[in-house]
Formats: sequence, C-alpha cells, structure tokens
Amino acid sequence: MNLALLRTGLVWLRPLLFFLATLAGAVTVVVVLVSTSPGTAFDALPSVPEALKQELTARYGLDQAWYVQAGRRLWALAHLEFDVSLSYRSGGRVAALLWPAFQSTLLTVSLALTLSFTLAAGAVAFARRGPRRAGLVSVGLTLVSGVPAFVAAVIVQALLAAHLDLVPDVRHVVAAALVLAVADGHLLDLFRQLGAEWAEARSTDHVVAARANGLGARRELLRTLFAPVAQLVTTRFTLLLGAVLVVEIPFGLYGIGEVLYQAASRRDTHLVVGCLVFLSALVCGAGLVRDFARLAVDPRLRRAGAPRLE
Amino acid sequence: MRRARPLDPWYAYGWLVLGTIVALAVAEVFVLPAKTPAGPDTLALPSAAHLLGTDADGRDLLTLIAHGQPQYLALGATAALLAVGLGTALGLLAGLTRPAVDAAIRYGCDVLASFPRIAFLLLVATAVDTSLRTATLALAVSFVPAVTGEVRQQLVALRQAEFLAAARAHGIDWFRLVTYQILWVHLRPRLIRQAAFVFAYVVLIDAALSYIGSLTGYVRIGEPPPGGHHTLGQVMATARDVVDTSLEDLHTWWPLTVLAGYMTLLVTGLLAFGESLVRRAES
Repeated sequence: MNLALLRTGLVWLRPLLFFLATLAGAVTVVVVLVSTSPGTAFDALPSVPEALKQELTARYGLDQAWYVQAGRRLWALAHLEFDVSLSYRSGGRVAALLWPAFQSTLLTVSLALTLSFTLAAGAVAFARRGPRRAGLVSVGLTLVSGVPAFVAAVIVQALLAAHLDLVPDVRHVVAAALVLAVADGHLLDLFRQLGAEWAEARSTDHVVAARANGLGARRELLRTLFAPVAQLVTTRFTLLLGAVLVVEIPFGLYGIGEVLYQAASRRDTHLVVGCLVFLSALVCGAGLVRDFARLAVDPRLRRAGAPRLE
Repeated sequence: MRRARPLDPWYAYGWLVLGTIVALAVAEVFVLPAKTPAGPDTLALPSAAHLLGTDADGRDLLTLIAHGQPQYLALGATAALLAVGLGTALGLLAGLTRPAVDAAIRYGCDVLASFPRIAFLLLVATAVDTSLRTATLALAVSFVPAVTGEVRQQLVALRQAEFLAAARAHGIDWFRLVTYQILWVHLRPRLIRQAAFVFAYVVLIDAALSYIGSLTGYVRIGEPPPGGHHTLGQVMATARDVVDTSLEDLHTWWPLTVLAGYMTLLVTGLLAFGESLVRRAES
C-alpha cells in the first residue's frame, strides 16, 4: 500500500473524525440531560385522567430508569431515527415536524450571512478610501449595529407591520435576515475583523513581494484571505444560529426557534432533543465544511505532519 | 510616576452605564415605591414629574426600568462570576497541565460550544426546571467555553514570554507566578471583558425570553413570582402592544423607544467597558 496515499487519506479523515466525535458528545449531553429529567410532558395536562397518563408514560418508555431511556434514545439516534413527538396530535415524527422549520431557519441564516458579509466587505472597501470615510463608517456602524437583535426585531417588525401580511412570506424572511445581519454588533464586529484580516493579508511577505515586482497580487491575496475568512464564516454562522431563535418569533416565522419554544413549554422532551440535535449538527457541520475547504485550498495543510487545524 | 492617559470616551461611557445600572438598583431597593402606580398621564413625553415619560397605563417608565434592576444585577453578576470562575479554572488546567487534560477540556468545550446558547437554556429548562437559579447556572455554563478558550490561548502565548522565564530563574514561587503574574497582571482585563460580555448577554437573553413568553404564552423562564415586578421583556411586550403601526400617532411609540434605547445603552456600554479595559492594558 502506498504510504503517501495513506497519509493523505488520514489528513482528510481527521476533520471527519473530529466532527463525529463532537456531534456524538453533543447528542450524549442532550440525551442524558433529558433522560434524567424528573416528570413528563403529561404531568401538566389537567384534563387527562391519571390512568391514561400512566399508560402514555409507559407506552413512551418514560417510566424506565434514566440509563435505559438514554441508551434506547442514543441507539435510535445512532440509526438516525428520531422519536415521536409527545405533544403533536397523531404522533408526528419529530424529523418530519422539524424538517420545514429547519429549512426556514437555514434560509434565514444563510441570507443573513450573505448579507452581512456583502455589507461588511463593502464597508471595508469604502473605509479604505481615506481616514474620514473610515471614521464615518466606524461611527455609523457603531450607532446602527449596537442595537440588540431581539430589540431590533421587535422594532423593525412594528415599523413594517402595516406593510406585512399576517401570514409570513418572503418579505418577513428578508426583514429578519437584515436584522440578523446588522444587529447585535454583528456587522460592526465583522467590519473590524474583515478589515484586520485584509490588512494582514496585504502585508504578508509574498503579497508584498508580488506587488513590489509589479505583479497583480489578487490571486495571492485571495488565497491568503481564504483561511481566516472561512473561520469567520463559521463563527458568524454559529452566532447567527443562536440569534435567529429570538428573531424569528417577532416576525412570525415558523423556524427552529418557534418549534423549540413550543416544545419546551409543553415539556415535549422528544421534540427538544430533535431540535438540539439538528442545531448542533449544523454547528459541527459548519466546522467540518470549513476544515475541508481549508484543506482543499491550502496544500501546506495536506502535507503529512502538518499541525492540527485550530 | 504614572503618565496621565488621554481619556478614552468608550471607557467613560462604560463607567457611566455601569454607574447607571447600580444607581437604579440602589434606588429601587431604597427609594422607589413597591409598586409602579398607574397614573392619568398616559404615553407622556419626558417631564419634571416623569423623567423618561410614561407608558400606556400612565406608569412612570424610569420606575418600571428600575424595578427590573436588582434581579438583572443579581442574575448578570452571578452568571458572569460563575462563567469566568469556572472558565478560568478550566483554562488554567488546560494550559498548565498535561496535554491529555488539555485535549479533554478542549473536547468538552467544543461539545458545549456546539449548542446555541438559547437552545441550551431551553434544553435545561425542559429537562430540569424553569427557575431563575437553574437558568442562571445554564447560561453561565454556556459561556464557559469562550472564557476557557481565551485563558488557554493567552497561556499558550505566554509560554515563550521572557518575563516568566526570568521569574522562574529568580526562584519565584510557582503559585505566586500563576496567581499574580498570569492571572492578576496579564489576564485581569481580559477576564473583566469576558465578565462584562456575559453580564450584557445574560440580561439580554432574559429580556428576550420574557418578551417572547409574554407575547406567545410559551415557557417562561426565571420570571418573578406572581405579584412581583415586571421584567424588562414584559414591559416591552406591553409597549409593543400599544404602538400605532400606521405611524400616524407617533406618541404611541415613545415607551417602546425608551425601552429599546435603554437595552441598547446597557449592552453597548458593558461591551465598550470591557473592550476599553483591554485596550488600556495593551497600550
């Protein structure tokens, strides 16, 4: 067997193993927390007779010891099988319930991510044209971007309420994405970080040398910028995924946030597990994509004995 | 002798906001009446009688905001202390002991960091209970990976530092080196920045959750018992109810504007305070 090929394979395998290990850890934390929880979703239902409650508890296996419950759930999740929701009628499968919400949330977050990077890159380009413009951008962004996301969501929704229908449509999604892209200091942070990465990439030796020799250094610059920007995208994606949970609801969007709140208020532990597994799979998945992209772009990282990706 | 530094406006702003929070909390405990009385002046703009104006029920907005302060101060400070304490301890363990311990702690932090904070809070609220104490603990835990990561990173950067080698060569006690040189001199501004960050976001998350709770009737986490004071989120929900969305009667927007402005000041002030502390230490 070719040793070099094996080493290359190992380099690509490492991020995948890291992804699986982190996700497995996250799922275990969720399942153990939920399985040790006292009481069930049926305790809070006043109109249901006691005998029926006990029957339901037994049917869903909620009366077993916590480690039995946890083991059963982990085994099912390892086979990508989610439980049945405890609070939706006709026993909706958790995965089927979550799928539309998941798509909607992912759409909002991706739109917000695209918007924020476009706006921040534009601001960096504008600010480079002189100290006065840089000052203008900095002050403007500090004023606009300082508003907390959920406060901004409430205000923007109220301002637009006369123009928005009760049933959410694409305008609600765009408004929510815009709030996410700007508020919570998001755009200001991104502007600063992108500006710093840009300045650092421009002052690396090979870019300076290429420019000094009169070569267009755009390709070098973009390749140098790739790793830090990939890291920024992942970090920002994770932050937006948290912020979207409080922004969706004021805009009336049916997303993971809505499902998670409903599930938590009905103590529907099966649905909560589903939401958390979906969310942490997204966060870990973003890290995996980042690692693969960096390996694909930077040949130094593919060499055997390369330092672990930080 | 210490050279006088030029005043950093963000630093002053941070102190101003911190002072306001504490002053409001003190006023709430010692000066203000136990209940915010409704008055005849509804949706009034600021005047001598009502410094920040009134809401739709004629309640004084400044008093309403002040009533939330002691709970926020307790919640934010507890979460900040817990998160920074736990995070620092874990970060020191990771940075100063064996690589295996380091790897284990980093793995644990990666796992915790893979949950969005609010999702983690809702998970704990479902699995344990919806009390304020549990919510504080859950929020503190959700901020631990960030603190641990920063402490660990600083320790790695310090490994090559000459002043540490010099201190060791002079035979300075290891414990003193860690507690004084590393923790107090080097990490203090960064830890305060983290604490300010945790404080701001915990208060914000609490307000957001109680707003959503009042808006939708969903789970209410860490709310005061019935008959207690309104939280900032609940006051915001009532303020949101009365706004005239056609923008014809702009008076109706006043309470919501005041509350939004206050929350923005609170968060930006705390974050600016932390940032300016680190800037001062580095300059």
